[in-house]
Amino acid sequence: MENKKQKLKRNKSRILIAILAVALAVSLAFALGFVAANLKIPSLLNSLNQDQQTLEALSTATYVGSSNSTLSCSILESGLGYLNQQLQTLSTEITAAQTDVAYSSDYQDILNQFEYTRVDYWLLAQRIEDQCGHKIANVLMLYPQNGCTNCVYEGTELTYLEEKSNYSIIATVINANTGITPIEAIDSVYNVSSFPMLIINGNATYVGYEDTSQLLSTICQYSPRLEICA
Amino acid sequence: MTYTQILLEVLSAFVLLLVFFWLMVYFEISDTRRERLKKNKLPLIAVIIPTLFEGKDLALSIKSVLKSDFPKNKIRIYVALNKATDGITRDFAYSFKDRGVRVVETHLNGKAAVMNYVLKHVIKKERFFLTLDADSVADKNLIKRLLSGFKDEKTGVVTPSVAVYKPKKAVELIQKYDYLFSIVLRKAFSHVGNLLVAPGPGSMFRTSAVREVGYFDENNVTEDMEIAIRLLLHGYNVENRIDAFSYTIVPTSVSSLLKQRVRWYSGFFFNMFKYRKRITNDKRNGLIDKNIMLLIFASVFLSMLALPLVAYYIYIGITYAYTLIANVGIVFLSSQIYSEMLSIMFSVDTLSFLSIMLLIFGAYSMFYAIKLVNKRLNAVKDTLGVAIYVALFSYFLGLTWMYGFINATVFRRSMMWKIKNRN
Repeated sequence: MENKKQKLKRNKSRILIAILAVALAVSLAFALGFVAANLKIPSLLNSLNQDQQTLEALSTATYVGSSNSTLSCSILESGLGYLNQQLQTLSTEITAAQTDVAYSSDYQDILNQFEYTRVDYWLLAQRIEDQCGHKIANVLMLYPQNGCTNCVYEGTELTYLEEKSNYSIIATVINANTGITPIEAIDSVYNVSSFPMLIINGNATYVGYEDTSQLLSTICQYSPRLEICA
Repeated sequence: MTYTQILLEVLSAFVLLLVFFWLMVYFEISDTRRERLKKNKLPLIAVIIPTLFEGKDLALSIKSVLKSDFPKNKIRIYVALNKATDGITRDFAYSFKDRGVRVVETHLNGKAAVMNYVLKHVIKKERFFLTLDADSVADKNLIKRLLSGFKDEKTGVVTPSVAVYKPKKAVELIQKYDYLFSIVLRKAFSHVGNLLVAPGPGSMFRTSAVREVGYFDENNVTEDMEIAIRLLLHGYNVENRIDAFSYTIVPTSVSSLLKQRVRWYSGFFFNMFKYRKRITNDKRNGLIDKNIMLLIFASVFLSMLALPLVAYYIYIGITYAYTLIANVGIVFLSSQIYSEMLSIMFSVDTLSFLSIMLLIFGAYSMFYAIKLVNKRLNAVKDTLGVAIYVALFSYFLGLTWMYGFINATVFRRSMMWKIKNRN
């Protein structure tokens, strides 16, 4: 029968082997995590480039069809709706990919580029809204980096209203704390300090959290011509 | 990378360490060789059955010992009656008198007290004694197999594999898997020298060892745990025979199960506090390995930590779903969740790989344990059983461990009061 010393020695070596095995497993997990993080970047970058090209094409179209014709407005509005969905999908993918950002400096670049694209998209929507006689409601929602559960709810409600209004409500959701120049400009122009902050058709309106029907009635105050407001 | 992410990665790595360690021990214990006992050298064995209100279950226990393949002339059965034992249980006890069963009127109350009475005043020649709870059943070859576990004079007790007796209800069936994992875990604990319990349903003790360490503690809610710790502290091995089976009748309702588990886990912490100084002192802790104790404690606290974490995430999930369903409806919310699921490939990261490893090795160790005990695996039934056990029972265990910890620390005085009143 083993004496105590032998038993202690065997237990120690068992613990040591287990620690080594865990070290190996953790190293493998980190290596795979590193590979996964770097595989995501090109795919996200590719989607972002495509969305930027669509945005540019749509922007060009606003100059080409500058008259307030029903046809050109309907093309511009449907293009805006399509791009909105594309950006939403990309937003979900970028959010999902953010866990291992430590592995890649490229991720932060993508994040910044994406925020620029969203600001551009919002400005474009604003131009189309002006051009087409306020047939759409252009909503910008600003949220902080952390600690705003209501922003999550309100973001989902805006997506719901977009779909329900057949994209006559166009919502852009932007992180107000990214520190990039255009967003800092928006923060200062609209005096953003409380969240969730809504800017509807260029008018800043902080109302805090609202449920879907309250949110719709707030949007309708600034865009009474929308079908959904009738 | 968020702090939560880092915390979860560290926790996953630690759980993986526990899984690897015990899996390594499982591989070592898979080979159980049986030693044949020489018939002419078989010692006299006492079987002590302490009884209180077990009624007809007592008859089941006694009959199981009478059916043992151990020579009848080498077994002496003592049914130890409490002062408070009811009439029906007494009648059942006395009905076996003509079959050689000795009924001992102790005029005392408490399991440890009546067992001590038998050990001090009744048992004379028996070198070994088996304790058998009156609501448990001994397997035909339990005595022989346990006896073969006494390899030298320093083996103080040999413990059995305790399984659930004929589970029917859902509460009993879910405990079946808990007992099954306990069987392997106890064998593993005994292999590394830290088995801290000699369960009431069928542990065999060396009489001289129990006398030397001062009998069972009558002021302890888990005297079976306390005696094992004391034997280890006195340098006696607490062995386990994985092939020696006894079966216990388990609680049939959630409330009685909760009561039983709270008593066990309160008792664990109570005894740990009682012996903490000796256990942590290498010169006074006998055969106990404090490194393994550290692993055991870490596992217990991890199971307790998992509980508030899971509860927090469930709360967040329910609040989120409730608010959004009320606002946007279930159909839209489902479509949103679906679109997020499509992006799942983008969320693969280090933690995902660690979780996958944990899932694979955790499941492997569970199925390995089942195969070790049952000698076979039923792919559908066992997968379902393990899934339900992990999804439901593991949180129940975490909750009872936590309650037990609070009971043994905060309500320590009221616990002592209960013990005194029970006795």
